[in-house]
Amino acid sequence: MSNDNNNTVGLILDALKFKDQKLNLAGGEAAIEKQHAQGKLMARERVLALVDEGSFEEIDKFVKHRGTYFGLDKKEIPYDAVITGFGTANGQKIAIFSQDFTVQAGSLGEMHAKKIMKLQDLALKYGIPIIGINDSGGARIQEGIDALFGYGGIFLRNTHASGVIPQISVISGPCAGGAVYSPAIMDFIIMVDEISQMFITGPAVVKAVTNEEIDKDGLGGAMIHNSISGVAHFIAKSDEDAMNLTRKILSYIPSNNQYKAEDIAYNAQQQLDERIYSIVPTYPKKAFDVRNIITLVFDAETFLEVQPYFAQNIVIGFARIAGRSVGIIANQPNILAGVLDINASDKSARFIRFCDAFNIPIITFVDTPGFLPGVDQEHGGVIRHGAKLLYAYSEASVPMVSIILRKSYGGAYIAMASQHLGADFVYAWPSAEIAVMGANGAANIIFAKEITNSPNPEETRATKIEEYKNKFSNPYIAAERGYIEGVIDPIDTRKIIIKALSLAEDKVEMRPKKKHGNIPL
Amino acid sequence: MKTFKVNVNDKSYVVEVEEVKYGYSFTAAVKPAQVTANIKKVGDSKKKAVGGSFIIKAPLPGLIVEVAVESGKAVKQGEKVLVLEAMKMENAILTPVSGIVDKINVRAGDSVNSNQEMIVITF
Repeated sequence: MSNDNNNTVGLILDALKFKDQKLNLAGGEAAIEKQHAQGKLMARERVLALVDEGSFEEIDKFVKHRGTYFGLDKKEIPYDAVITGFGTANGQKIAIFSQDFTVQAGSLGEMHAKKIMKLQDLALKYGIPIIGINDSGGARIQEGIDALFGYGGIFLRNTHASGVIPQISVISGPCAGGAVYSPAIMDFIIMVDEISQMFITGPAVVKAVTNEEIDKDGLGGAMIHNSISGVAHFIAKSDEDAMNLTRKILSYIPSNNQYKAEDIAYNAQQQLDERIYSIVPTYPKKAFDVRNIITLVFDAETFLEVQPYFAQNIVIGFARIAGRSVGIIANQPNILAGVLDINASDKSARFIRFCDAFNIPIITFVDTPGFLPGVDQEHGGVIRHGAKLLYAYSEASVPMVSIILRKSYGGAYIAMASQHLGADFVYAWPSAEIAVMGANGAANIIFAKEITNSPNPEETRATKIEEYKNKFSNPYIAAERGYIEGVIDPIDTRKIIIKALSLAEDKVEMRPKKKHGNIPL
Repeated sequence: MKTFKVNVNDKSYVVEVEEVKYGYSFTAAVKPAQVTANIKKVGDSKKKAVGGSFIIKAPLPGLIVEVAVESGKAVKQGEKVLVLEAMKMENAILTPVSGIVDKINVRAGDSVNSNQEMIVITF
């Protein structure tokens, strides 16, 4: 090459470098400083915290908006306020978009949305998870209905990708109005404490319409959505924490619905010991924390609880057993006696369907007194919400193993991954009580006449309750019918789950052809 | 919508109260005077802190089997304050705040409804 040519190439490269560096200035020094002062990372810093070092490949950095109204044509909006590209997390390929609040408040305009849509299309085509980091003031009003076109296109793609590739949303700032529905359609929402909010309409509109006074965090802060509304699944302490959590979640799930999550190395020596006997109290009315069983049964330190603050009467989460990724559903006797109610049904049904969509086996632990009675529940539609739980289990075709620890009565027995709904292996601990209803209620109905006619009704009632309890409040009648595969020594629980999963590993379920089911929503 | 009778300066008002997610909206309906008031509270309805006091309410309808604290005694966050038998279980009710037991509205053997105020703790 001649010297002359070298010089020209040098100049051309300088021009590129200059353009690139200008874009890297994002919203300018003052905006960056403000972002950092709020304890927030920059959009690019978040991406780099998420991906494996050196793996990020940005696309569409030079994309420019086309707005002309309200002086927008004179506005520089670097990369139209959203960074898009690909990288790897734990070696797994992912697609990422990250909105930049320092640039025009991260507002979503036509080109901003087109960048996201393109990334969604590519992620779906490549069969890789997509991670969206949200930090945006909302629609770019100056672009008018072009912004609405943008949101609509994103929702459509979110929906088409649902159940095909995993979609995780991190809320690292405001997320209001139309913007909330993309995360809501995705699989998991992580909200960063104190810096993120989600709401359809903000405090000002709420005040104007309903005269309720509330601040942003009280209306839609991270803890509200993690504990009360059930909109979010995780709360992170900081942006860095949120990115680590995203990587952790990704480690349990495959790239798309055609694959299984990869097994990892595990300690083959791990066995259950006597501690397992001391967790469930022998007195059946005493509560315990079901998570103590989970942490003993599954591979050490692999349990990741999902929605730990919402509907705490049911515990859901990911874990590994013999290196294999599984989803866990467990009644929590410590909270509200472990009842099934509207929120517990919604929470678990959605998680079951996620696991099923992505070929993650489901392990269920049962100890529930049943569905919660009450006017609130009935009027709130516990029938249609509870039905989701039954629907989700019945629909699932992944390997399913259930362990009945203690109470398993009536409709709740059926609902909690019984053989009747398609579980592959159902085992009971000797402490299990599998019956059509509790001893008190059953005795009152069956022996109603004897009790009323008795000279001492209370005594007769007590005797009859005891009689019923002895006869039916155990796992053996169910075992005699073959409704459960067996009654097991609790110390064998881990071993049995591992065997069952390996047996059912390549399970095939034949189902009638259909467009899609009609889950009771 | 619940109806309450409220006495103000020896005058009775019948007030309809509608519970909404984060506040109560009051609309007074009946004579002798028209009253409209708005009372707001912010935050979790279970953790309703009013002037440094915390009301522990029944999470489930059931039977009180044990009251584990005494009026005037100090309690620590996470301490068991009573045991409520409900849904085939004896549910330990823990205080989410540390403070002094101000009021105990229930005794062992009492039946309670969901959301019934059981113990008031001041802090």
